[in-house]
Amino acid sequence: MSFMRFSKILLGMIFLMGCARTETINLQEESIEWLTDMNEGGTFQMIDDNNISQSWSLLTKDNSFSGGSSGILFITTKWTYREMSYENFRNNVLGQFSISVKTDYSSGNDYMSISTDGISVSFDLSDRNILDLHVEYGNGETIYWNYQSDEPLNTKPVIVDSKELGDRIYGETLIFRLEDYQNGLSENDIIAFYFTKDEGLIYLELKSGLKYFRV
Amino acid sequence: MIKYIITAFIIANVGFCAPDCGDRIPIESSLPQDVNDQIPYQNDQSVVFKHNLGQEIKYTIIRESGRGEGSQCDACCTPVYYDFDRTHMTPDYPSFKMEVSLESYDSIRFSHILSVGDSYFNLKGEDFFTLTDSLQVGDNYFKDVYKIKNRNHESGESIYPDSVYYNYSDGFLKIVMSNNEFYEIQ
Repeated sequence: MSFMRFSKILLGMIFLMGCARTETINLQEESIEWLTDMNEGGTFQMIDDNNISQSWSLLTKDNSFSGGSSGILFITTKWTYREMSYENFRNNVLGQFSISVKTDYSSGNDYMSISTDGISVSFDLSDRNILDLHVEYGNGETIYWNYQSDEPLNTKPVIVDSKELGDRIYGETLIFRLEDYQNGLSENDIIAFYFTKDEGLIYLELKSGLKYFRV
Repeated sequence: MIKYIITAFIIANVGFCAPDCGDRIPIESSLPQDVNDQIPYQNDQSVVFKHNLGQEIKYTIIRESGRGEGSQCDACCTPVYYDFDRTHMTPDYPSFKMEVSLESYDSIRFSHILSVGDSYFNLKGEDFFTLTDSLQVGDNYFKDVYKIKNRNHESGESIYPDSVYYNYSDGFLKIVMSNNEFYEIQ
């Protein structure tokens, strides 16, 4: 290859790299509303059926952009940055409860991921269809389901405009109840929760049937 | 030539400057039997605590003891062998776990740590504790009770074990939470 030809190819590559487009995908405003107003270190309390109180604290809160590239051969032609918001709560008995919202690269829809010590679930916020579900048993066995699996899933999150709980009425509320793969979970694993745009976590239910309510 | 000088310099540094550790004499310690006897719990025993609003919680006990191995390092590392005796208390209700841990330092010193959830209470350390003649729980009186205040709460939660009542003959007697809820032995 002559020097001239090599130089032309090199120049072409530099030109293509210089032309790499940058796309930023922001979360929809209504998706971000699912994150609480709490700051890191903030706490809230819940009380169980037997009037025993527990507190939860917000360990981590983050809003960031993660980048990915696409291109032709090894030349990057496009950089895509997508916004992600995340909160991780912890209770020293029931473990962690984390919630995040992101934008799906392929569909462009926002989706929510929630995980506890036993369950991780992601679902599309527009139609609430589950994208993937992990259930981790105490013996280390993990069940993994995703939207390409053949097995039908009975679990489906619901979002309601308002939810009455005890003597309080909350606004828009996400209701989740695990209807599948419960057998290997322990009695103290979380199987259901309500999460509101107003206050965050307002209700928890363990496999044993014990219920926790926001104070 | 320079290559040989640099190589010789590196060899000289590695060879002559590395400490001569030789055979280090291990540091060994053990727990005397009378110290082990300070833990009142037995393997497979169960203990019931009652919340001030009525809920009873049964704790199952697993006690394990053995010899641990570690090392103390400065320029060289010295092997350390010590005795441990740990009592794990697991509740049948979603509540905090408890643990009593003994560990030997040397022939006369040992640590005696109580843990309740994420909080630690040092029976032999500088933690704030008071010794009271007796504590009444229900109809029972317990003698020579230590009340130990939590000084190392780090989890950030607003409800945490604030103080523990403990004695050597009966173990945990009462746990008072930071919101004044409490659990008492039954």
